Amino acid sequence: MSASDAAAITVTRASTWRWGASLNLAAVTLLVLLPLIFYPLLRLLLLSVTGDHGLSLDGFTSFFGGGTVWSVFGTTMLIVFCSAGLASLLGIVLAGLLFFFPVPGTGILVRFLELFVAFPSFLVAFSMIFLYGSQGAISLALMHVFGLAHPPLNFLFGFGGVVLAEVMFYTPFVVRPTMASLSLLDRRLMEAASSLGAPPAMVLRRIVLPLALPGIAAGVILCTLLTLNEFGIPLVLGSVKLVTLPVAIYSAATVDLNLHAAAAMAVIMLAISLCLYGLYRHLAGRQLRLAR
Amino acid sequence: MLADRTRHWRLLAAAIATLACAWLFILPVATVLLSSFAKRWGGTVLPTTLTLRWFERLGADDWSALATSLEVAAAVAVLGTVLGLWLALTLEERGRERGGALLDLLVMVPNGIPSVVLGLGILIAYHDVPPGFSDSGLIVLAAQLALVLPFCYRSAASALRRELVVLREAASSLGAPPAMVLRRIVLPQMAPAIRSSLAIAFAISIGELGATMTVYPPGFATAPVLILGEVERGYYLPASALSVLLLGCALLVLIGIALPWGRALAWSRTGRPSPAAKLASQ
Amino acid sequence: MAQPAAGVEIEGLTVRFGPKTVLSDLDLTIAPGEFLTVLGRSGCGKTTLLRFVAGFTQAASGRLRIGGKDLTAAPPHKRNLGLLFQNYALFPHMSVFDNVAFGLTARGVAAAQIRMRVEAALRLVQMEASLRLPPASLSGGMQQRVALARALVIEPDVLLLDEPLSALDANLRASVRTELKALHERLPHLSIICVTHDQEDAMVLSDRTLLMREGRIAQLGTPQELYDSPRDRFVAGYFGAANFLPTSLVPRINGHAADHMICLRPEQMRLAPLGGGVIEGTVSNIEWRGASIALSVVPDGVPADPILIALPRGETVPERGARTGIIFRHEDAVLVGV
Repeated sequence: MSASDAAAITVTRASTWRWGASLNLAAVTLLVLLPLIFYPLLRLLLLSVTGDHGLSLDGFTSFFGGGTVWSVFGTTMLIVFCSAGLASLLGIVLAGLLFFFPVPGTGILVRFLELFVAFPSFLVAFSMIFLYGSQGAISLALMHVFGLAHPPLNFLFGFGGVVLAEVMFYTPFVVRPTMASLSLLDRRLMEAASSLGAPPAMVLRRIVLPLALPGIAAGVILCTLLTLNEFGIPLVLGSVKLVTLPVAIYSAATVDLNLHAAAAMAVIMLAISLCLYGLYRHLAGRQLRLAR
Repeated sequence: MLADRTRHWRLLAAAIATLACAWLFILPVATVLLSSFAKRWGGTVLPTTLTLRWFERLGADDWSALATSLEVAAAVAVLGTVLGLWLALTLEERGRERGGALLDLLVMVPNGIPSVVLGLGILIAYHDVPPGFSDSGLIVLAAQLALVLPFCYRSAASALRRELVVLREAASSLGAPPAMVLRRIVLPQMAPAIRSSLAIAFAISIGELGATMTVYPPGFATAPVLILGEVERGYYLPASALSVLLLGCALLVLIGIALPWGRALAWSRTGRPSPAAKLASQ
Repeated sequence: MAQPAAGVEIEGLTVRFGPKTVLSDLDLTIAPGEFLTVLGRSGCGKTTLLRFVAGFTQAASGRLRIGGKDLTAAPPHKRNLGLLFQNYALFPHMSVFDNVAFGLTARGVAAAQIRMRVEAALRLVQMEASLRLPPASLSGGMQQRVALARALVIEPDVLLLDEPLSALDANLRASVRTELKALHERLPHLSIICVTHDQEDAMVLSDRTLLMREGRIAQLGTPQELYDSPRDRFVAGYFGAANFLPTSLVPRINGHAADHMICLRPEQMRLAPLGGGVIEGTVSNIEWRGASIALSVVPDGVPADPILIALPRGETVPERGARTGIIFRHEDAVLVGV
């Protein structure tokens, strides 16, 4: 075997070695991402633009033509606006307090927040029935204390209950990214600002907020996205009159068995969610670059 | 004066944090726990008589739903973690350029879409195609797997730090073929990430509702589906009992995942660590 | 560790990262048993060169032969090279013993042999007492010895050192440098390539030094050659301190093209009484350097930077602001391109 033959063999071996990486990428795309994510979403998209007889936009027209759709849309947006707004406000204040005035146990609390991501939301809504329902513990306690004739609380099954549950459940989702983006800040920058004579309020306004803002905004967007996508809470505490988009999609698909309408709604929802998600990724990425 | 003021703020912050913590985390769990042991809860502020009757009355349906939940969650945790690792290693090998960043974005897509929509997609795609798939628990597994994949991928990818790249290069420069690098360096180094991936996938799967309700075939309802049905029909206390069992099982599994198995195994191979080693590894 | 000596041949090596050419058409031959340091600023391609030899960087074109075998396309784990990483890259989840044994395990060496060879390698770096410890419990210098033992125990054809001293503090650096030199003397058949940005490493350690600039060879030679006859102004300025003066000052080489200058080292300059020097100027700065005194003199009329002069201790030092003459021996002046 000549020297050039030997060289040729090593070259082949290495190109299979590099080739393996591409093969691996192809395999992971074809065997995991395609069947689990892309193919289902593609079928969903296709179904939304087909009727019983080929190509059709019936799904969309029946969706936009019906009168209920706008009420579903309006209800969803109002709930998202109120619960995401309140949760964000509460979450940012809480995160600021925890970050600037750390107390023993803050670390444990933050770990707890991480675990909370996985707590089922419908159980939070469910537990509220025992507490805030008209016959719930708090309502009855208020009756006893103030000597009322009727239960004072009667908001749970409806708009108020859904918003309260979503605020309770999604506040931690704002606290976590806000604390994360605050802790990415270089504390020396704040120390430098105060050594230059800036009072705490000025440090907060001129240094902390500009640097942490993209991260905080990302947390708010994430919270908006999650409240928009929330399914369990409106299912437990909603009513026939209070139907959000995910619940409407679910009942169109499994109760009315109108898959075309369900798919059309799902595609619209997909578009909104992905826009919000893209915005979230953009902001979160900017926070990371800013912190570097 | 100033120090005094900070101290007041600190106390206030501590009080608010404690209250928020209690309100957000402890109160819901405590309420469900208490109600599951209550003979009845209504007309009084707190239940007056405690009982085990709701647990005793759990039927075959409840137990099979609980079993389904645990089986599906275990499968989702293991498969999700394996696939997440595979994805993370592949995409890292590919690097950020040449579509790597795009693929990274695409893997994370399920994080951004409603679980009901993803479930609907899975249902439409697979309700008729492979026989024995859509009428078994496999379709539930597929839907939940799609949902947890971004979380598993993210925990694996965040563990592939720059230092780990150097360790892998060191191993291969010492003559270790890729499989040995994976087995002896990458997996041991990623043990914490693997744990957190298992834990988050398991926890998400145990409580998953939207996708599961959309796709589950008859006979494969998970515990959350049953709980929700009972809540909607007003059977609150039986629902509490099933919820408590579900949360209890989840807690046991999560503790099991968190226990330090890995270190014990790693050291048993090389002999006992000295006291200095113990100190240094803390 | 007796082994046939292996040389390294690199031919026409070009490496590109995207549009950027990091190494362009580099040819390099390292003799068996030679200690070569690769020197240069960060970003000059020296680390890329090392990573190419180790197999972690793919070349756009070029060949690599080690011990006569073509390894251009071989994956890293089939190259049999010892690589010492900048931050040592010890496996944190393994004991010192397992770290050093790793490469032997990968080669399927029998357990009894592994034990013997690991212990021998650790003895070589005087770390035999720390077998069972995890690497994190060792100091930086000790970690480096373990990493060195790990790289040597596999009896590599070539030892690659990536900035081996940069993570150590100044005192330790000098002693480890001496140890590396001693190690090379004990293993005379081992070729070593050492990447560094510290010119002192190059002067102390290497048989030959490769100074790189923007992906090309600026000069390759013994450290003395680089110091005494730098090819151009970059080499002269990088490798030691240097003064650059107009060629008109030396009649022997006066008349050369305008794009040349003469280069003189600070220790080649002497003070002279006013009126008796080749150049005259004003002392602008005086720094005490321990073994010598560094003087900066701003020359009159000659368009040049301040001239650096290293005065041996004991000589009379003029005061700041004083005027002085400067002389040098004409044969010391080296002509360099700009």
